[in-house]
Amino acid sequence: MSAASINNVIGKRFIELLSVDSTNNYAMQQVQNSNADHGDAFFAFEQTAGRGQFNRQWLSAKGENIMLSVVLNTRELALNKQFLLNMACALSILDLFNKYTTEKIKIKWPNDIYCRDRKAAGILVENMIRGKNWQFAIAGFGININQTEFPAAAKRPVSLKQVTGETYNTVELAKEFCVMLNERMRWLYAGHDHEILNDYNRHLYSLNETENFKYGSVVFPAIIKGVNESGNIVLDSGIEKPYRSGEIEWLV
Amino acid sequence: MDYKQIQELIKLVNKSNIGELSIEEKDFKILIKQKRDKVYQPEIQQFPVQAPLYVQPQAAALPQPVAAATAPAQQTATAPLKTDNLITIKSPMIGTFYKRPGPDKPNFVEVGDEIAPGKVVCIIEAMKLFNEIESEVSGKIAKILVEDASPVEFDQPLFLVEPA
Repeated sequence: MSAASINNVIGKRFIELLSVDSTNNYAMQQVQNSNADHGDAFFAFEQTAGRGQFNRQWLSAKGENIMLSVVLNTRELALNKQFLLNMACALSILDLFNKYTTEKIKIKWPNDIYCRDRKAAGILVENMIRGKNWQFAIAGFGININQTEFPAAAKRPVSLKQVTGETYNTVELAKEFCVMLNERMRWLYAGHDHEILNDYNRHLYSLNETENFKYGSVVFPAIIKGVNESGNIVLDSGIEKPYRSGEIEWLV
Repeated sequence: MDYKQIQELIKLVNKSNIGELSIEEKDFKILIKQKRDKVYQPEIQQFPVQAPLYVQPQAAALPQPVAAATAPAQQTATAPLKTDNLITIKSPMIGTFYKRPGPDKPNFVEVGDEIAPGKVVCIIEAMKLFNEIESEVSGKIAKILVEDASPVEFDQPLFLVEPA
């Protein structure tokens, strides 16, 4: 990935794929074959093996939603900014929804987008690391847009259409989203870490509310105090303490 | 078994080329292990599985889950390895180590595999972000030091590589 490519505008090169196993896999291959660079966006009308977090299937009806993977140059970023990149990605989805609805959109830690207590979008970031150098990231976005019927197995989903009643052109919307992501990434590149962190926390799902968490075999209630820049959720269960994702499970 | 007998046993094991000796009688059990020179162990022991940072203070109501079950397997490694000129691939972050891309997929690398710079050797998952770790070196995988799906600390050794 060329150093100068960081000045590319995200989505300027926008590739539409009729059908692909997963947009993340496809984007990853393209980068590794030197066929893709920073800012390239891969949009799919159909994913045959779409992935959510760690191979959980991401179910999406044909052409109804945004399934998009974007190549991001991270060479100038320190490895400890990983979660900030994830925050920037989450905020750009918020930006998109906020343009079309006044409904409250929230970020459920660590990286799901919620509306009306239902999941509207998910993010899957894959990073390539050599030694301590962050080579690049593939940010994958699954955003529910026009889908109104979901398989029974889907866990409480919601789409933009279900909120606004409108039908959207998903390709145009994905291109708009790229511009928003571009803006949020500029913040990250410029070192506006605190602004990103504050914005993320301001829109945090259940902030200052009590939720149940599972730590080992113990279930306990705790007040969500925020998320720190390493991505740890800070909980108050008598004392305030940060927890890693994976270390605790949020019981919803 | 009394103290003196144990001392004798230790001496015996020391002089021998036995790697470890375990004796069990009724409710008594003893395990004596030989320490080897030039093994990577001390380095590993600096990075306990449970980082102190995340240990729940005792004042809190939460009991601490037992960490013993996830004690690093490498501490009981017995295979004699020429570690003198081996290169260690370390974890660049705190997270969970995965040696394969998915539950139904083959491992990224096996012991004996030739690797080159850019070859993906594992995934470290941290905060639901997936980090594919590429090798910086050329060589042959001599040992995989971490169990699949186990937690790893910053700088914890993951692989030993015989340089090409």
